[in-house]
Amino acid sequence: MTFMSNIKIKDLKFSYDNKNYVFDNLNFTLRKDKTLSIIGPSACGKTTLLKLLNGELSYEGSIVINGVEVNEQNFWELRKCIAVVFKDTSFITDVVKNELRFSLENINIEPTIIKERINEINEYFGINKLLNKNLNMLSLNDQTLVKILSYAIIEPAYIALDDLLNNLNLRTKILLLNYLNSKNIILINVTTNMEDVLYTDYILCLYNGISAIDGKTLDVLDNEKLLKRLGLNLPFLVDLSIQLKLYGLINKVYLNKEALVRNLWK
Amino acid sequence: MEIVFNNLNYIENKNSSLEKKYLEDVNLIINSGDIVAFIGENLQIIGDLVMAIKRPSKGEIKLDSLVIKRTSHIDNVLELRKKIGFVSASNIDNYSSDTVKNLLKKTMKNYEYKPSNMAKHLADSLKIVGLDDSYLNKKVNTLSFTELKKVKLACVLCYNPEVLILENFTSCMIFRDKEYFRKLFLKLKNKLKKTIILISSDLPFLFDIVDKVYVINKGKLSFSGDKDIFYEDKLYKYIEMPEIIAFTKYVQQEGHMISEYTDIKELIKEIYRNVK
Amino acid sequence: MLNKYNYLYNGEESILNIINPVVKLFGLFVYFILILLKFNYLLFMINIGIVFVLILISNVSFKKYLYIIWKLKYFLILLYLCLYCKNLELIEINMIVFKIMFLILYFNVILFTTSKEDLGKGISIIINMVNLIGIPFKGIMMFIINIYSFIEYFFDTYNDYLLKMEKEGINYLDSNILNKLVFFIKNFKNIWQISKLKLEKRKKELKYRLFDKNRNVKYKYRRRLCLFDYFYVLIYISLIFYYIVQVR
Repeated sequence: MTFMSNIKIKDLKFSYDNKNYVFDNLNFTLRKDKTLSIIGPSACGKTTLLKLLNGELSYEGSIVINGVEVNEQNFWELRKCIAVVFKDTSFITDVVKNELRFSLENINIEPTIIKERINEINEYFGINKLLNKNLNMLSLNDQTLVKILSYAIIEPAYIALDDLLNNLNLRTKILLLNYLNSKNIILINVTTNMEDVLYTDYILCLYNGISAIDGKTLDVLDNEKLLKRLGLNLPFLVDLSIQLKLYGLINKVYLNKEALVRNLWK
Repeated sequence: MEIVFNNLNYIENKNSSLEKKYLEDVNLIINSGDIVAFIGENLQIIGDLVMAIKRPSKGEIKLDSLVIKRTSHIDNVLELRKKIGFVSASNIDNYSSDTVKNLLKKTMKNYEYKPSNMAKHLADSLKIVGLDDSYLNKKVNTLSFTELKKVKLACVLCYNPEVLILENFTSCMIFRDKEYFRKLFLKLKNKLKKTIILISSDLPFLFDIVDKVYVINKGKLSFSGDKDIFYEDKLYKYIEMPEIIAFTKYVQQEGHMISEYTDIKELIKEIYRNVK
Repeated sequence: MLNKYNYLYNGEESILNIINPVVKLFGLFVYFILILLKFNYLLFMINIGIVFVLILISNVSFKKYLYIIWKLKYFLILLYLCLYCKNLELIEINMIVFKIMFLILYFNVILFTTSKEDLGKGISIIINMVNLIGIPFKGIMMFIINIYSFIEYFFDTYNDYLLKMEKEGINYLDSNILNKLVFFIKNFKNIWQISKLKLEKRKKELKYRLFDKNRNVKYKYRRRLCLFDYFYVLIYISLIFYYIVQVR
C-alpha cells in the first residue's frame, strides 16, 4: 500500500467535554510516503490526535488515511492502514513469541508465513534468546521493542508511537527505524525528545488546537524563536550550528558532527 | 534525614520462575540535604524500601536512627512516612475519577497535615509545580501525561516531607518543563534543605544539580561518582551518552583541546575561544 | 498477587516444550484415569517412573518442583487426615496421597513446559472436539474464563491499590485484621470500578490486535505433529492397553 500512503486531516474539531476544544479546525496533510514527528507543549493534544487517528473517538471534520475515512464502519479496513501504540498499551499474552504471533494468528495467516516474519525480525534484532521469555521479565528496552513489533508485524501502512522511542537504547532505535523502513511502514512519532525529529521527514507542531507550524524537518527547525516560545528546544547539533552561525564561525546548519568540526577548525 | 543502605538485598518470588533480583548487596550512604541520582532498571523498589512499604530480603536500611530489616516491625509507620514523599511512575492513578482538589485534600488528611489556610495551601501546592488554580476542579483521569506527574508531585509536596523520591520524573517532558523542575529541585535543596533522590536515566537533566550518582546494574552497585562523573567513559557502559558529551569528546579526539562543559552556552564560548 | 502462581512457564528449551499441548493434556487425562483405577503396584511404579522421567526431561530444576509441594503441604496434610478419619488402611492412604502428589507434579511439568497461551489453545481444541458430542462446553468455558480474568484483574488492582494507599499515607500492611477488613469494604467499590476499567481496556486492545470472538479461528499449531508427539501418545495408549489386559 505504499503507492498511496498519505493522511489528510481537514477541519478537525474535537472536544472531550463539549466545552474546551482540544482541536479547533486542525488542517494537515501528510504527504505521500513521508515520515512524521509530532511535537508540541504539554497537554496540546498529541495523544488525543493519535487516539483520533486510531478511530477511538468520534469527531467533527474529516480524517482520511490512505483513502479510507476513519470511522466505526471502516474499523477492520483501517487496521491495515494504521497501528497505534500508546504508552499504556499492555501485553495480551505471556511470552514474547506468542505476543508477536497473536495478531497474525487471529486473522488465520499461515504458520509458515508467521515463522518467516519472526525469522526476519530475528535477523534484524537478534532476539532469538528472548523468544521464550516471560514478558514481565524483560528490560524496559526489550518490552518496548516487543510492544512495537507486535503491532508492526501485521505490516500496516502507518505505525504511530506515543513517545516510546525514549525507552529504547540507541542501537535498538536505529535497528527499529531500519526495520520499519525496509518493510515500508511509515512512522508517525509523537516525541518530546527533539533529537528524534531528525529521523523523520516532516514535523507537525501542535498548539492551541491547530498546527502552530508544520513542514519539512529542517524548515521547521529554522523557526527556533517560535519553538522556544512553545517551550521546545532544538536538537543539539542544530542548536549548536545556529548559534555558531551567529558568531560567524560557520555558514550553515550541520547535522553531522564530523562535518561540523571539520568546518569549524579549517 | 540520612539514609544508609547496609548490604541491602531485595529479591522477589525467590525460587519460582519469576524470580527477580532488584538489589544485591548494595552499600551506600545518602547524606542529608543532597541530591542523589540512581541510574538503572526497576529502581522503584528504592522508594518502597525507604517508605517501609516493603522490607529488605537481606541486609538493612537505616533512616537516621531507625533500622529496618526483613523482620522489622515499625510501631508508628505514619510518622516515618510523613517525612518522605515518593512520586512513582505507576499508572493506577490514571483510573481515578477524583478531582485534583480532592486528591490533595485526601493526601493531607492521610498524612495528618492541617494547614492554617486550606484554600491558599492548595493553590500554593499547585503553583510550586507550575499549575494554576483551574486545575483544582479537573478530574485526574482527564489530565495529560505531564500534567498528572505535576499533580502527583504537588500531592507529595503538600505535606512538606524532608525527603523526596522521584521515579522517572522527567521522562516524556518537554524542555521548558525540565528546566523548571531543575531549578525547583535546586531551590528545594538549597532553601528548604530537602534530600532529593532521583531515579532517572535522563542525564542532561542531572547535569550540575546532583551531588552523587549511583549506577545500579542487574541489582549490583556497579559504579558511583559525583558531579564530574558525566565526562567519565566508564559511565557510558551502562547508559547512552548525551549529545553534548559525545560532541565534546569527539572534538577532543580530533586534537582540539577544549574544556568539558555541560551547558551549551559555555561550550559555544569555549569553541569560539579555541577556534580564534 | 495471583501472577506469582499463574505463571510457571519456564521458557527453557526441552523436548517437552516442543510437544503439542493437546498431546500433553491427553497424557494428563490418561494419567488421571490411571491413578483413579484400582490399586496395582506395577502400575503405580510405572506412573511414578513416568513423572520422574518427565521431570528430568523438562530441564527445570528439581528445587522448583519441591517448592510447589512445599507450598501445598497443608493441603496434603489435610488430605491425609481426612483419609485417616475414613478408617482406610495406612498403606492405602499412603498410596492415594502419593498418587495425588504425583498428579500435581505431572500437572506442574505441563505448566512448566507449556506457555499459558498454548495451554489455553490446547484446552479450547479439546473443548471444540467435545462440543461435537453436543454438550455446550464452549459457552460454559468462556463464562468461567471471563470470571477468572475478572478475578485476576481484581486481585492485581487490589495489590496496586494497596501500594498506592500506602504511598498516600494509609498504613495497611502493618495494621491488624479488623482494620484490613474495614479498608477492604470501604474501598471495594473503587477497586471494582478500576478492575472493570482495566478489563474494558483489555477488550479494546484485543480488538485492535485483530481478535474477534465471533470469527472462527482455525488454530494451527506451530509445529506439525512430530516423532516425539507420536511417541508420547504411544506410551499412554500402551498403558491403557496394559491395564485393560491386566483387568480382563
